[in-house]
Amino acid sequence: MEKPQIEMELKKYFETEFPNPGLELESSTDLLANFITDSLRVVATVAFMESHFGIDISEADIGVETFQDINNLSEFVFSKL
Amino acid sequence: MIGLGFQKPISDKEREKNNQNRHGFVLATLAVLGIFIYLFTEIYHPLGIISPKDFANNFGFTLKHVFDSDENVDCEIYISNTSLFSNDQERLILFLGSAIAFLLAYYLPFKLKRAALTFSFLTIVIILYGIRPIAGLLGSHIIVYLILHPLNLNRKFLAWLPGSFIYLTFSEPSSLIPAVIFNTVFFGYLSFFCYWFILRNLLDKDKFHRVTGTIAVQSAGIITLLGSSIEGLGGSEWKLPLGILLFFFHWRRLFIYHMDFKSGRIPKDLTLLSYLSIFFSPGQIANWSWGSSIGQGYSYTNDRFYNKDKNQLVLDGLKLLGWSIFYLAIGDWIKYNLIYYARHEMGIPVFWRLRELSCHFIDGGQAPVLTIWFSCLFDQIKWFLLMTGVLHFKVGIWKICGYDIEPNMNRPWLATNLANLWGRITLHYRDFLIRCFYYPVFFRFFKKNLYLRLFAAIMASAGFGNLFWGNIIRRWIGRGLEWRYAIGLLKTWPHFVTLGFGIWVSAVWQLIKKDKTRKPWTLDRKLPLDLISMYITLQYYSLTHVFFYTCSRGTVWDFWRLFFAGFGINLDP
Repeated sequence: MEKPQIEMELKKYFETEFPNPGLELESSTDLLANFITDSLRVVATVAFMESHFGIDISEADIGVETFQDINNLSEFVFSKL
Repeated sequence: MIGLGFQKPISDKEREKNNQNRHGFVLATLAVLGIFIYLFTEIYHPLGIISPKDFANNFGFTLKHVFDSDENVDCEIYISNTSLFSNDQERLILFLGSAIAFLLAYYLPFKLKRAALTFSFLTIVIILYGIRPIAGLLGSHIIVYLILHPLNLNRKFLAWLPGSFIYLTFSEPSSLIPAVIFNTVFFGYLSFFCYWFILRNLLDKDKFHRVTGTIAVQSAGIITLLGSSIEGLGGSEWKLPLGILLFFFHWRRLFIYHMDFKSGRIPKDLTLLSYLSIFFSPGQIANWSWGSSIGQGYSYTNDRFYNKDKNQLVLDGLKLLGWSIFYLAIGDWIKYNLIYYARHEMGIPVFWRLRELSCHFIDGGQAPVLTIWFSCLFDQIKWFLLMTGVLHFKVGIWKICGYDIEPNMNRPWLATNLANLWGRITLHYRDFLIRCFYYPVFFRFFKKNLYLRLFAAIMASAGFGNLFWGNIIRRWIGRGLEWRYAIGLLKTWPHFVTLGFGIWVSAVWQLIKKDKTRKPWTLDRKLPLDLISMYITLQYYSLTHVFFYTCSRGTVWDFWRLFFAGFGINLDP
């Protein structure tokens, strides 16, 4: 799977599961401020990425940089594939 | 906000930009602290001014359950575990000390601010507790520091300090001064010898370093478990010096510090002063054991210092301090009036304390559903108000001193589900449980089933971790190393199970509900549902406390019967 497709799938996930009307979700939109705003959303996102992309995520992967925006998150997923 | 450990690091250059002086903010802060002094201490007496009670009476405010016999406002802010001064005198020292600490931190050059806060903290607590307890606190922290951050040649004199300080904390107050001086030097040398010639070489070995680091950080849990177990097996109770107990209350913050350390977020050559500045801040002095997770870890505390304009931080702090005054003053008054209204206007018998309800029920007394609901709810409301008052004070002091610490209590009455409520009433402690239990379990077990995975993680944190690490160890530190305290708290397991279960149900609902767009408290036709959800959330949470505040002659089954009686289900034999 290529990175642009990963970005598209992640974008669709956030817009469906954690909708934020009025905010256009771009690759550089701050996810932590607008979408992944609590620990439940962190783990739900992790579970989605694991099942949807077939990757394995560990606790050590959780960090500000990884979840900062779609760009970083898709980079992370791509590196795990 | 996904977890308090998730911070963007900030550079010193950015911090300098946030260091612009505006004297109006300083005057406002001193005025607010002056109000604290006037309302909550006896300062009116030596100053010859009108007492707070008479002042209120002049405006027609004759409120019960607000003023105490000293004619100042009754207050839950106190200094734990010491009686060198009266409560009012302790508060005066604390408020004055906080004001001085604030002024130093505000006006000193940036590189001296945190040192000033550390020394202010030490000065205040030495006055309040005396030298021996603070020597124990310092010595214990220095031991942890020396293990995690092994010394280089330039700082080897630090290895003297633990031995000297720990001796001082264990020494008898009646010891002769020459003996104290001799032993301080002797144990200091012993400590230096052991560290420099033995321990330091061993700490070069990675495995040894990791194991000793873990033992040092978890010493509170290890020693309290060991001491209580020995006492439970018939041994005598270990009486630990106050300084060691004060250090033990920092144990959750040490836990997170250690996690940051293992993640590589802390510089290995961190100075002792920088290490101490993480743990020693004036904001943590009041009610030492309340909100003991506030300011946890290196990453959170360090990256939150001057991360925004300091005057904005002062303003945020003053808002919290203002609310603190409100809640401290009227918490008991609100509960009194709620109970009065229920009893006399609605005709519903309501108990002032949950333990009274528990004993009444166990003794065969009538406990209608509304009695159970309102007794639980009003008791919880009172705790929310009082804890908010104290914890807003603590966080307010952190903020005016330059730390952007988030409030520990955040309007719990706005929660429409239990997961949200749990985050609103104990933010920092919840984050401790998330980092230490929730994430570790979530990332290791039941990876094929999200809901089971969530259940395990929530029960590990809000259930198991909350009971053992949050309550049992805390009870041992606070009340004594006796096995009966563990037994007593183990009997409260249903509180943690029902709490964890409720949080899990809320979390699952958040994930599966269809309407994910609407935010709670939006002014639309679904607003009544928010009100009902809020009530159900608060009521359920309050009801789980029938397992926590129990009658000593009751059994766990009795408390389950009371819990189900709260739902109108009679399980009497």
